[in-house]
Amino acid sequence: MKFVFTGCVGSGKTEAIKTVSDIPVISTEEKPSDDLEKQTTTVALDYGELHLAQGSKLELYGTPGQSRFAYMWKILSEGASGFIILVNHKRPSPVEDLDMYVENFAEYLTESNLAVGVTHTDDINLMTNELSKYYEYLKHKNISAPVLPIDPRDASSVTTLLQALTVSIEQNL
Amino acid sequence: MFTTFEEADIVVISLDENSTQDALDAKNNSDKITVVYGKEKTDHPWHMSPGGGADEFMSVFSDIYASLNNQKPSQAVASFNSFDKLMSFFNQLKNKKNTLISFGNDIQLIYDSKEYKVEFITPKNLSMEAYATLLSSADFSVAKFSEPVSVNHNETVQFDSFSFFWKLFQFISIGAASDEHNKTVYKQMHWPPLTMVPHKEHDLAISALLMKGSFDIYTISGKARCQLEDVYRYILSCLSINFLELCTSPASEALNKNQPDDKKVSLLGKLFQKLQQIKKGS
Amino acid sequence: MITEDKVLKRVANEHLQNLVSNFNIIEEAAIVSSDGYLVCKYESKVSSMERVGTMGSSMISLADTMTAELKMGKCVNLVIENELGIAVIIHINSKLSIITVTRETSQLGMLLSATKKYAVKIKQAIT
Repeated sequence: MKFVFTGCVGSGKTEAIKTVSDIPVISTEEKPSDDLEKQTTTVALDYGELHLAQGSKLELYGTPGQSRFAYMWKILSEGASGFIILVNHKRPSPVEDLDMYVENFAEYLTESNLAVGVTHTDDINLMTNELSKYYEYLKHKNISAPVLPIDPRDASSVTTLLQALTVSIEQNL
Repeated sequence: MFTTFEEADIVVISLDENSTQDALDAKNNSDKITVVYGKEKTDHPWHMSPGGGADEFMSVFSDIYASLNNQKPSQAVASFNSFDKLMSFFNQLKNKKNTLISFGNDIQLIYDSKEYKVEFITPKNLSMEAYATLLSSADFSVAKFSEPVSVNHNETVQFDSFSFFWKLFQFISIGAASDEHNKTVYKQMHWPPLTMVPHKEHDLAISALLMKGSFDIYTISGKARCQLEDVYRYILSCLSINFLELCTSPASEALNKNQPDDKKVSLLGKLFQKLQQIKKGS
Repeated sequence: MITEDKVLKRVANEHLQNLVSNFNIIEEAAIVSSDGYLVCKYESKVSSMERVGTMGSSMISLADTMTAELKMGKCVNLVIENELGIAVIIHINSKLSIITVTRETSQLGMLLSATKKYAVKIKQAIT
């Protein structure tokens, strides 16, 4: 089974995978030439695994964030059971960011499930009202998906998002 | 304003004022819930005869029954002259919709230092036996929740179906335990704290099960909200929780028994377990 | 930003054009930043070297990751031999890579040699 993390640059995709993976994450990180604050950016993929009982595993793929790497989005999306779009809440137009990824992954989302993680929030426990805009957007797009504030550095937080996605998948079986 | 019965994915039947308000709130936040009874809301299509107690209880059911059977509500009222027919109706309803019957906090088991008493506060006109019949004779999901736990007490249990009510109260306490009032009641009853969970977890458990659409009876306590979306909002802050235990418990297996893709379900089950392990470790 | 460094772009472009003119087997070429931005290109009508260049940055990064996994030092070059041609990707330095393409399937040696030579030249020129 395969989950794909995608979302804008700096939303925490690589970090989220590193936080929960059972193996050292295979990353393709390079120094960004257009963002002096960010240490590295993914240019091909991130790959991690969750080892499940009886030899099963969940494969976690991370995509590059920038649209110039959109060919990787397609490559990595093949056969995915679930998608996680991470949205940087501090960006100027996070809903537009979300829309960009929803649109680009639309053909895959019809066949699988989506969860949205909202990152860079000051207080993840006080986000209910702020999440409304994401829910409204998804409702407008006729997409049923969980939206959760998460901290990609926190295993509990990332796991919660994975759980939400798993619930969605189970529902839609 | 209200979704019609035919359009609804989930039907909420609420039998007391507080939980009616909760159900209405939930309905207002979800297109998938139809509230079929609201004591103080006279403007919805299922409400026929303002007032309390059994008459109103019956009129609501009559109304739904009429819808299910293409009758006029006035014709259907006559259909509920016995609990057998009411049970038949419930099963009919259950087969057609995911149905949620809310009791609020109004069923209480009272221990007065001499004996246990089961008290139903609303609808006042319905007898305990009638309720017991209603709840125990149908194959509702109450008993799926957990096995009865033995109670160490030397007191006489007067009610014949105590084990049934024990199950029921384990179930109901998921919803009600966070209310101070109920905590007091449970304390008086020497109730084990096995299902004393905070409200948010309660909401989550409800929502998760609601989403599965697989069970039929539970309580909505005073402050609960069962918006379907909220499962995701709450899951974040309350995940030590019974939610996952529900998902990986034998009850969950029962809930999942009709899943079409066994292999995938099995994998998802393993994933749940794994995620739970990560949670506990973090 | 490296792709806005006019001097670097000019120098890199000069060398890239020299490479293509000196080795006529090379039909397309590009220099890209390690994070996928195009610095300069020479392209035919067949391909968009901006897109190919970005793909090249992904591929050589993945090759670097694989090389590290194999504990084989540093990835020197990446050769993609195809039915109808060859592509080579070589690091210029830690921030830039060069990608060259030929449709002559028997010219791997020449393509590799020429590209390596110019990768060194460009590195020296921009340092």
